[in-house]
Amino acid sequence: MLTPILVLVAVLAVASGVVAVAAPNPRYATLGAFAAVLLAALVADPLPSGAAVIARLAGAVLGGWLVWTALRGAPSASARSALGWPGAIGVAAAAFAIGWLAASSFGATVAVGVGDGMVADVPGATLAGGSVVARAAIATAAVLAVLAATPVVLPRDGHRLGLGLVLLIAAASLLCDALGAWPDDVVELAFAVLVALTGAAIAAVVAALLRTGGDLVLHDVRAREPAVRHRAADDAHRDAAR
Amino acid sequence: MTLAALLAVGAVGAVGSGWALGRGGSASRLGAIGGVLCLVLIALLAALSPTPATLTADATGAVAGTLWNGALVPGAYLRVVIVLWSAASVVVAGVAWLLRGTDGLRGLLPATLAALVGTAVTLAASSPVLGVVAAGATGLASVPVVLASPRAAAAAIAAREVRIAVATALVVLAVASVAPVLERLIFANPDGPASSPGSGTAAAIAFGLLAIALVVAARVGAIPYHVRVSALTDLVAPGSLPLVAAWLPLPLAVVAVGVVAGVLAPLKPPVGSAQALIIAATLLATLAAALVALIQDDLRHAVGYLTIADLGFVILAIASLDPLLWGPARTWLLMVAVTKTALAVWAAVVENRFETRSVPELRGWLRPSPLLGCALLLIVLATYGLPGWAVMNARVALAGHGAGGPWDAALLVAPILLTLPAYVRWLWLGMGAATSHVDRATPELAGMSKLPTRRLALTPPARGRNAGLPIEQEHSDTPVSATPGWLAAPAGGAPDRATQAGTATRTTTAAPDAEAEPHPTTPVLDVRPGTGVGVRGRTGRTGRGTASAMTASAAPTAAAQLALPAATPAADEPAVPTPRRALRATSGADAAAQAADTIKRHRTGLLSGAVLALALLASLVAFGAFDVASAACEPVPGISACS
Repeated sequence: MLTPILVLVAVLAVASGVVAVAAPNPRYATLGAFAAVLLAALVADPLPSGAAVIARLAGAVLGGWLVWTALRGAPSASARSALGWPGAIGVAAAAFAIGWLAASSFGATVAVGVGDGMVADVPGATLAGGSVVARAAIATAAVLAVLAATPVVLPRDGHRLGLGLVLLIAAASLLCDALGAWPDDVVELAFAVLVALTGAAIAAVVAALLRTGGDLVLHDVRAREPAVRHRAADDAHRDAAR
Repeated sequence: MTLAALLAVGAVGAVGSGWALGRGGSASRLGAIGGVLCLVLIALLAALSPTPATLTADATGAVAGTLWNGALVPGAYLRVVIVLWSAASVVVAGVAWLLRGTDGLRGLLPATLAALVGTAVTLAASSPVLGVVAAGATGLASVPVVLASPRAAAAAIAAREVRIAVATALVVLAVASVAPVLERLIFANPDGPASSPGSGTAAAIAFGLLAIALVVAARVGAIPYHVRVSALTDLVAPGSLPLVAAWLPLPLAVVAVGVVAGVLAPLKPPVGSAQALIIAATLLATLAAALVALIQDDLRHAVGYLTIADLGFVILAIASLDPLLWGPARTWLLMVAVTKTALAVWAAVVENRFETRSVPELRGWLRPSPLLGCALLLIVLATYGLPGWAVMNARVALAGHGAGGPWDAALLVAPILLTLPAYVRWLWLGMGAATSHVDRATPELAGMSKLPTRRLALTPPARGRNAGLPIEQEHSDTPVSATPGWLAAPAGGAPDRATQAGTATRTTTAAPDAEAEPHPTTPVLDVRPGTGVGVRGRTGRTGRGTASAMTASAAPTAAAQLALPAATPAADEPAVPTPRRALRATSGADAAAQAADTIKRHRTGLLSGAVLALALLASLVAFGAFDVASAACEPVPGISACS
């Protein structure tokens, strides 16, 4: 009964991830990223406990609110993914299909390899049992990881980098839930804390970027320390604080 | 209960000190005091926390001393790490305060407390996933330290710190999640493990092993991921370097080694080529870092590279896939953290004392600084140890078991031979003829009893939150509003020259538009009887100015004449009996101010003593005190290989 709903939630998480990377407005992107991390907590078979869901909800709301607040004064458009809306949607669809197929294949391999030795409540049991929710979770994790790859590996914008990390956290939690590895309410609470702290860190970075540069772009950090290098005669007039 | 109290004290202390230190004024001082008290309390709570051997279950089956039904179990290693870290942090906080006042603690204290909480959760976690997530959150503690810097590059560097903290943890998390499924797959075969060379399972395990080695290398800053550490050494306050470079990588490295030892190693995968690749890369990275440390003229960078060279050694424990290296790896990580804390603080004090971080300009530093010399010798001893010491045993175990075959000798000897010359170079330079930087520095021992340092602020006065603080000005009964010299970082400011003892006349200059600039450079005079006067430039930006290459003489115009008296009061007397000071004395309500005056007079000796204390602590840990080695070998719940 719940399976179609959970698959729909997985699709919504994918859509939120697309918004996080493709929306030009940084506020909408923030909403997309933290919605993805919240929806990702629900795509699990069996469903997480109420306490775990509340913890994840609190973590996502707190982290998102901090980033939203820090974006006050930010430009209305920032460096979104070069793919744009159509490209991001296409990549997401392809990654979802690949993730689904990979999950199915992996589940079948585990089921064949383990055979009768596989019992419930052990890592990989739901996947080997052909759970659609587990496959959807792995497919969603693949989408979020692919969408987050570019802003995390090649960051140009501090805000988008942070949102990419939030998407990666969502992907990691989906993977844990789908594989049934170490299921625990305390782990869910730890994920919630990690999301909230990551949001706080992103908010601090965004505020610092806006304070120093007026935008969200990451400037070069490799400038050498002028107080240390061998000085030329005219170095005394350089700005040492930069 | 003790663990819960520890976590509560750390969390409250982090939030409270972070909030108060950012407000300035008396709130800042209260925040600093509160933060240090929290550190002390955490050390006490950690020392009193029960070990698994002493845990007992009550009638309901719940084990006292654990949290959340055994999700967090305090262990001996946790206790040692937290006690040593918090104890060292108290000393580091004192040094940071002496170097930069409460501005030096902004970022450092809340980040340290938060990191202690995160590390406690990480080390107490009974499941690898919980440990990895907590380690990722712990890495975020570097953000407030980085953002405490006023430099424009701080935001970009902080963003990269967030990335390295979260992304590395998530990679380890992915491996820790997939590995149990692979374990089922491998051991389900009734004819034996289904993993064979070239099989898909073996390839997956090799991929996971490489991923973990890669992220640990990135987290510790091993070459080629060293640019992050290099930028951090330039950016963060010198007192914060031990935290971001040596302590924060520890939780993730410990968890990564635990995942390898407890999850991957039992699979006994045939991944020899991946292991060889990791060992070769580790050897190259370690040698490269050691070589760069040797030729590096920037003292901070050299310390960073020495830290990288030693921390990277732990990757051998990952490459080995040997559960027996669980203990030596954790011992090694703790040794490196404690030793490099002492080294980084030594470098910070040297930089502050001689107003330069250029190694060639430090020639002759050893003669006026015998305590710092002793400290450096102890640090070297703690870094390498002697046969039978815990640090030497850990190094031999990592090199021998980690690499084996023809690699072990190279991995044991080469890093020593390449990192040792960096220390020897510093000591050798210290015995040379003194440079002008060294010549004008306050003597270490004489400064404690005979040579009080008084700084006179010239115009323009400082602004911002320190604008109300008094400074005595020459031949004036009216205190001038400015930042006290001992509160601000004088690093980088270079005095022009010392003048004759007694009456000194000094011509100094200031920028013509100094009054119009938002953060003017305030020249500060060091007055020492018998040694003369030095003028140093300092950015007046609320005391948070970083090392400045500008000196008063470098500014083009606006000369000012200053006459100095023939003598200054004795060390045990107030420097200048200004009305403000007299008011303090008559009120009798400011014993703290008198204590601060005493600390100011003894600042040089106190700094050296603090470094010596940290070096002694490092030596004791390297020797094997506090039962570090056995605590590190303690089996941890959830890590089956160590049970």
